[in-house]
Amino acid sequence: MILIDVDLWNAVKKEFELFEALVDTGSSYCVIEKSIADALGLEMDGILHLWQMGEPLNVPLAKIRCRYKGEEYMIDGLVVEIKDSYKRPMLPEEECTRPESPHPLTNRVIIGNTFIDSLSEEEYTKLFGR
Amino acid sequence: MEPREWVNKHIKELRNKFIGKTVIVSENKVIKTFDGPVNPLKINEVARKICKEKWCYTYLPESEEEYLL
Repeated sequence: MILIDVDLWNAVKKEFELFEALVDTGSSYCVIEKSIADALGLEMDGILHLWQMGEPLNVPLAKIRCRYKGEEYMIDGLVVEIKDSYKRPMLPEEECTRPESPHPLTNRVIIGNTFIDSLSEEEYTKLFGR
Repeated sequence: MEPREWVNKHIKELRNKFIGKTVIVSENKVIKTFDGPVNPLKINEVARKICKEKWCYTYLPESEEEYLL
């Protein structure tokens, strides 16, 4: 698991906020949790329609202004709503109904290929060559 | 050392010592801990007040992270 630090622009407070980010090469898009996206003042930019296992998943798209190692990027991101009960560890009575750990988007963003593909060859190599 | 680099280097010790907590790291040490996962915006608010140098945060769950499908 690769964890990095990225700064995301807070359009409400007009400053960057630091986020721990999970690098996920299996994710086409960067992903952020809805209550955090709302607090950052992210503007939605359409809906993306995906197939997720047996049913459609229709999720809002947003442009995310972010900074990584001093360079700024404008990347396509998805905004997903996570139930509050998934933002904490599993309780004993919830065994076998959900993963033990809280949803990763509770306190992180997911960095997918919309960001990874924007990196320079040098930064890409540094990220995966460690 | 960059805070993230320090976290990556000491992740096993941190996981043993601060299991289930979120930690803010700066100047090669843990500056503050919170119980459980915390909203990143709240962490930023606190870190700006207490950290003089570069900082980062990480959550140390009791079990290994499950990946998203």
